[in-house]
Amino acid sequence: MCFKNLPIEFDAEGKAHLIPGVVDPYSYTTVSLEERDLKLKEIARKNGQTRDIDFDPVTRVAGALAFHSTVDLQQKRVLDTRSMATLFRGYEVILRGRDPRDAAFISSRACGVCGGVHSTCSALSLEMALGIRPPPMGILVRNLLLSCEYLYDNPLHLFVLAGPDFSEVLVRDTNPEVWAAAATAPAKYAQLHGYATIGAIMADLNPLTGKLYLEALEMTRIAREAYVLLGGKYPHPETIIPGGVTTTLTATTFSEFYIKLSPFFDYAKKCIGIWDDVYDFMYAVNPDYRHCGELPATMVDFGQWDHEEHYDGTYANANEWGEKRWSTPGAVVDGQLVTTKLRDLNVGFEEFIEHSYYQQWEEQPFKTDPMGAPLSPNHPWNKSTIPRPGAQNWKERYSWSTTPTWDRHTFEAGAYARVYISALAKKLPASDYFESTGHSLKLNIPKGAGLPMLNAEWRIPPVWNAFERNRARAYAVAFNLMVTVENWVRAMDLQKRGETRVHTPFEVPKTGRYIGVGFWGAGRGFLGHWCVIENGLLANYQICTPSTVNACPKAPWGEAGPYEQAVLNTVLVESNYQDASGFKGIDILRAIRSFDPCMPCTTHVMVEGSDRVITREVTTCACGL
Amino acid sequence: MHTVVGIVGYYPFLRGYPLGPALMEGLRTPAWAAALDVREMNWGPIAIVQELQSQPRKPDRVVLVGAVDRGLPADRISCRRWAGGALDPLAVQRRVFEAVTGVIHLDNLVVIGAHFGVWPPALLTVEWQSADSDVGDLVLGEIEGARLSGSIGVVGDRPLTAANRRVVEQLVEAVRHAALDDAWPAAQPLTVDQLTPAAPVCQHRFFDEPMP
Repeated sequence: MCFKNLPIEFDAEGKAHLIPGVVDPYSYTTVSLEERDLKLKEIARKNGQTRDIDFDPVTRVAGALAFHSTVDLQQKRVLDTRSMATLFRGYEVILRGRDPRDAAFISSRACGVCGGVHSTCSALSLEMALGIRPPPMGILVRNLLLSCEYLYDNPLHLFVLAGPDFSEVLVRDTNPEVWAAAATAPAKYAQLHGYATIGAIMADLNPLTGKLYLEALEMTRIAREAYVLLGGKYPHPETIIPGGVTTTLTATTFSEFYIKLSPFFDYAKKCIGIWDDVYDFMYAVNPDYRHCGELPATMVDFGQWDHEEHYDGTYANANEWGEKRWSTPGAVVDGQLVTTKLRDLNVGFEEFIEHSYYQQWEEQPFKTDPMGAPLSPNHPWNKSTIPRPGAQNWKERYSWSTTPTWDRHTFEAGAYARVYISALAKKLPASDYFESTGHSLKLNIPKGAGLPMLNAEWRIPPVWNAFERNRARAYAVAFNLMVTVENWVRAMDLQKRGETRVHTPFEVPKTGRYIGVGFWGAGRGFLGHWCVIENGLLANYQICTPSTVNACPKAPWGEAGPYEQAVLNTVLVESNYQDASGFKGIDILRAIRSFDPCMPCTTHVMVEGSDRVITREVTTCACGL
Repeated sequence: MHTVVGIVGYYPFLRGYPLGPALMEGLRTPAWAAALDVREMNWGPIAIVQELQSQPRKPDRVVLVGAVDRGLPADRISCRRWAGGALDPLAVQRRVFEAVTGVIHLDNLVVIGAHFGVWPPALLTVEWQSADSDVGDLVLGEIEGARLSGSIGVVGDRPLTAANRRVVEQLVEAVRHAALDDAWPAAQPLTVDQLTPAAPVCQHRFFDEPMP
């Protein structure tokens, strides 16, 4: 029984239904944020050290995120937080009424960093709606393309976006005592990365000049080049369509792809060594760092990388093919795995707009999913995107992000979620390259040009915080890589057998109603596209991205979004300031950045004047580094 | 002579109608532009830097065209020669940060490209001082019916206004001079301290003070 808050139970055959006798099963209590605001003002009046700190935009994240916090500099505590997505996205509105075949191309523009995952997620959604099963090679190529995106995205975050927060320049400036300790602290994993001390690592994390920063930029280029070999173009490939892909592949293509992958064998080991060393050191130098971005481990991931022998695209079999994915879908609530079934994840998912600039929709076209399980009025298949721009008001509406919940919990999404859930679920298909133990993820990383084979193991940590998110992301580089190798070997086998068909043709029926959902993941985690096709056109299209999940405003019942709560729990360790003017907010920024925010996913194209007027020109975000 | 012309920054061109596509068209049509390599550069500066680094043939001259705010009278078009200056790594990094937040800005591209050494000595900017930098009113296909019926009114989705057309023509002409004239060393210099500063990382304000 995975649901604790939604009134849904399962019968002996595992079929979900509403608990009988519940009068208004999806009702909830909306709490006012006004009282909290008044309390803060009272504290502020009594305490001269209380300051509002705004980060607008939060730099080193991709897009338009602003973050408001109220901090007590004397007590070194954060008193209040608000996460704001400051721009409207609007792809849901843009896609309405269009030919479903346009969806992959248009929705891809939702992000310039994750410029392929939306295409694939859209293709999956249409495959489910229209009953299309891609051929095995089409599935494998999609997997390989996804891996390239992750191999690009995760190092970018580790070293270019979040990495500078742990660089000599920043650490020396904000916490001289930490830098003093780092300068001589020996690095435990010098054999993986070549640095004798933590200080030497931090020096090479320096932005623009540090070798690790520059190396990461180069690795992101290699990953993109690998993508282009198979996908033709990045971002926004035009080769990913419902039913598979449209690229022509030869053995040479796969060989060239492997050559591009090769540098990652050593780089993945280096990522693990660097970040294990840095975070172990930070904990040792000040145990309060354990509270940086601390949260109960509550996260949802749809899993990714379909198994070509099991994926059939149907909703009816989604639980089965989902559990055969190369990373396991699931929901973890406070560290406990509660389900690995995709249909449970779908049924428990809702979006709320009480603190967002949207208008509540009235209709509920789908009372149940295609298997008869109950659906909330706030489920994406029922949701309409109706923009309602307004002034920022902390007590009411303050973000263009909605509030996604699963079983009425706000939850986290991230690369770390696929590592965490895959480790915990112990359901990964057998592979020579990785294994889930139920408490860890074992990774067998082959010999590279400079380093021998490494048997690495990511273990579920006792605390869940900003540093553990980043550490898991460092291991995710190796996990991605080994999934890539697994799928590359399978693709080569198919190639040898002559099974090179990459696409299944399909027609869009001109009449009737069809629904589907793409369960997928961006580099930053959880990604869902829900479509409703009516009489050959998209009647509804809903996208939920990882940054919507993480950057969301408070739930109607007052529960904070992940950024908001993580910052609230953060202890301010920053030491090198006398007053507010010298305060850098490094601990707050570390907490936010640990989620790898990418706000173009959450926010996009502008509205002006009317709440119905939206730009038709679909531009990518500018962050395609 | 390999001359690259980059159109930078769709944002300021959006008022009413996006000038970028019209500018691109204007730069690809004339016979004199046949020798130019005209590109969109509405991307992250690091991607543009990597693209330039990876090309075996380095440009002899680069002309970047875009809208910037130099505090000049509206619609002034000027051509400048990048004269550089001391590039503080942290200041450059701030521009990388800003670029990663989604800001496409000619000045960020100039500075980041200069840091990574991708520009030839002949780097010129053709700058349009736009009257405003708001995103314009463009329309969604599904509401065209409502627009046609008169139930709503929108400003966008219409051909260039005469004023916009003039801006495009003037920009094309300025690019022609910047790309082809040998007198480019005489252009007005553009130095680091004349650039639009990157946004601050962190703003502080006292409780209940109005938002800056």
